Amino acid sequence: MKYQFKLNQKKYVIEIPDNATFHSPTPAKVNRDIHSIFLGEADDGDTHSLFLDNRLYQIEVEKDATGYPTGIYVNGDYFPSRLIKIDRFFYTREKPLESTRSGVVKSSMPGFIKEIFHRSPQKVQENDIILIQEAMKMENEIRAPKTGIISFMGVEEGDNIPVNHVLFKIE
Amino acid sequence: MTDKIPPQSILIPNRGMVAMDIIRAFQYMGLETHLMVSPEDQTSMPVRLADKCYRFFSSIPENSYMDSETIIEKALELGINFLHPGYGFLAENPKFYKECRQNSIKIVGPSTEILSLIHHKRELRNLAEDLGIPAMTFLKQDPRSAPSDDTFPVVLKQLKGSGEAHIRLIGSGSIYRKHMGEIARKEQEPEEEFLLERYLPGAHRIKLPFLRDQGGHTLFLPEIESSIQRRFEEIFFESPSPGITDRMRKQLTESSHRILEKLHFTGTGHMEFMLNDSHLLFSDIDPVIQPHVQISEITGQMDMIQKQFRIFSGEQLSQSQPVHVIKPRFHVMLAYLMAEDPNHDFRPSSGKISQFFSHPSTKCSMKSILYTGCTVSPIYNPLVGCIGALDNTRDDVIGQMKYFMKSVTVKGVRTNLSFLRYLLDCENFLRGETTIDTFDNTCDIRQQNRSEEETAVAAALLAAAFHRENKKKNFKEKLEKMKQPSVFKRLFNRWQ
Repeated sequence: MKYQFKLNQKKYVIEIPDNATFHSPTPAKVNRDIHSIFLGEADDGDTHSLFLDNRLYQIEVEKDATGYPTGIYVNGDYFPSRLIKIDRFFYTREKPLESTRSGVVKSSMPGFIKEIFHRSPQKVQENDIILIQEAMKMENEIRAPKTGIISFMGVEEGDNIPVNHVLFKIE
Repeated sequence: MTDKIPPQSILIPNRGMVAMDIIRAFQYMGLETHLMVSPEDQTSMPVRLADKCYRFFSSIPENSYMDSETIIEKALELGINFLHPGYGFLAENPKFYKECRQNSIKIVGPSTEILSLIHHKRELRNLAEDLGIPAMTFLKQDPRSAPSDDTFPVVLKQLKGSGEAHIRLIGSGSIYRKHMGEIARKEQEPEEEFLLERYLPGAHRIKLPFLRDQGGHTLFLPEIESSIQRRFEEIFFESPSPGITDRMRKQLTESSHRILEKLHFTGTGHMEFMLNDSHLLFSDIDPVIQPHVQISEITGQMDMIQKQFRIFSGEQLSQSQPVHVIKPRFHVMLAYLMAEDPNHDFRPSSGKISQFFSHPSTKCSMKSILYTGCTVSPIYNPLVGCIGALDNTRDDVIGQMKYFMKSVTVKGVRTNLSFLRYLLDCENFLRGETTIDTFDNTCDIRQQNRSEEETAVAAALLAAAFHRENKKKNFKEKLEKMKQPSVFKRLFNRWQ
């Protein structure tokens, strides 16, 4: 299979045999060079450890909501990356739930709600601070994505919330 | 047969690295350690080390580690002999000290009067200036009216205490007015709560650890430079500071001694100075044990927490002259391992640790609260470890650290290890010229130039990982969903 990624403003075409499982050293063609890749350790979730040319790398793939890679951590160093093509199929990014259109705001990290400034059914302007979410001593101001009326409030002051929890909705 | 004397006991309402240090110090002295933790921390490392452990009812700091009523109640109920507040939370709160002492609980720390004076930054700096010691200037006006344009940028700090979470750098008048508007909504009298300070971008932050007993004997340890920070929180410490000369060192200890003398301070702590254009400006006193106490323990070859406790119980320092200064003999460095992602604006990262190991050497090792299977909570400070190294020269220490960091593996949460590795290669740092703004302005380490080789490796690994993952799922179906776009769309993509 032929993958095309863009990293560091440069295109990389990587050719991997279709049925590769990497349980034995597998040749991978990167642009013109051939490297051998071998699985080091069974992965858990998004982290893998892989040998490339007999050197071990710890990697973690960062993905968007649709499950496609947006970046990779190689031994902790981050490379933002973009998938362009798989074989002859172009990857057109599926639009994630656009918060400006639907007005639904979700939490981007776990934390707890420190303060709420506006509640339902108040009218708010775009960029108004709706609430403050604290995560690990760091205060994050969550702002209104658009002008409208808060129709739903998913949290209360002092709540502990996980990732992707609906904070509020603006209509 | 003699009756067994029941051991003395100490209550520690704290968590993380500091709780671990305190437990170790007191267990060594033969005290029974009682720890109070929130439900969130009930399986954390300090709990495993403590003799006994009690739980708060809630994990929110206000209802747990900062709930003085519950803590005092528990201490009275258990008949505890001593209480060590640790660091952060209530450790610098004069009210808590007062309440404890009113309930005849011996809380390890400075006296209430001295603490409330130190707590109030403006009064403390006035005191230093009265003694003729140059201090950091704060803008003396009412914070409600914006200062004139040429004084920007300014730093807005809380007047009392040392919470870094509220420090803000303000670049211009309009941003200032906006901030004050938000503050005025919450606070009745902003001038009683906040302090404006001129921002000194090229300055170094110097800390001078000290011990002072009730007889007035003062012991100064080698100074620590802690200029490297992000979001106004220090993350890297070095002793001795590469920018300090012997003359400055003398000035540092002399001014510190005069301030401490005036305050009649007893206990331990750090004097904080800013070094701007080779002028030393007094800034603060931290009267508590901090996670970087490890440095003083190496440079002074003593357990600072035990010393603090001995001084508190009336013991004198074993020195004949009133002031003793320990000369730096080694070079020591300490880095904070934080659970945060330097590649995404130092965003905190929490979760379950699926793998954790390191390979310490005799000259470099790590104290950490992590273990495989533990959880990093999203509620508290992301500090999870201290990497400390010592050697004879600065270059050797950097080498030790670099080698050690290679071996540290943390899976499950993202850590600032890549930032620390980047820092050790940074030219400013190698020359010893890092100042407080070095990383606050350019903390985006994504900008660093990656070599083409590295990028190619990353691309290959990414493709392999993606391929492997998709092999497991029903990838064929997914691929069919990605319909081949029309010729126009393809042209459009290429044009983009």
